[in-house]
Amino acid sequence: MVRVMKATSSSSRRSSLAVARGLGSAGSGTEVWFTQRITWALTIILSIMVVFLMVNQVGNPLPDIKSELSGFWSSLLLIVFVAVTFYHYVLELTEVIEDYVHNRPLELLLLLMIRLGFAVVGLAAIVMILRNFLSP
Amino acid sequence: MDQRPLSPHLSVYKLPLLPLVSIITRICAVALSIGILVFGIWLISLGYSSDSLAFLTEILVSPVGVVLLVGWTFAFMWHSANGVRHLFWDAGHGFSLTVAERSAYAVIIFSVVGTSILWSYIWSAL
Repeated sequence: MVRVMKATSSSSRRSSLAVARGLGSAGSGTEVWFTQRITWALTIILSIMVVFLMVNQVGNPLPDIKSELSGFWSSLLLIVFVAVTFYHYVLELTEVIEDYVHNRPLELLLLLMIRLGFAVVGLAAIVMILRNFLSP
Repeated sequence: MDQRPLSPHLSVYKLPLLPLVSIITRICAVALSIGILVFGIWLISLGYSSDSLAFLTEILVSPVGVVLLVGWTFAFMWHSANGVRHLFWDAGHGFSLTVAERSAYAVIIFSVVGTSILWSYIWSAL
């Protein structure tokens, strides 16, 4: 809608075909770009925290690790980490697929599959972190 | 139309430092996306049952598992360091060839040294 209005309102040098196809800037690229950068920064910070959390568990028996990770702050960190990084890696893989997969149906299939796969594993992981938190 | 060569003609270029670092970053990203899924599945097993947790952990600390973990650690260090480099570029700093090459070396050195330090710590804690 916005796109059509933009295209028709500008005293256009575009061909009528380009206008009809809605080619050109979508007018909202900066938001996506900026969101990506925010998730980058968050992903780095959260990943470092989780690396420290996990490296601290090295050498402990598994039941201890399980109960250690069931604490409030550990659980919270892990949940936020999963939410942010899984989103980050969907964006990351989306860029890779868009750049290298030139067969449109395959591209769409892959984009759909990574979204589905990351959503399922990510949500299941969050549910199980919660479960471990609630009944360690 | 479809058969015409596409620009950039990658095959005619050598692979200098900067594009090499760039493509390794992408490879690391793909490796990490698999690693993060494995970590997700490990977290699922954490809440699912002690048996599944023990089973998955055993695979991850097997020789093959450790090689993968070291690889993912390296990929994480590399990808994070280069991510920071990109954030500096996005803020408008460090575009000159000298600075870009220096920061590329910094990424390489950071990921090698960082991975070594982290894993020597893990090894000593085992």
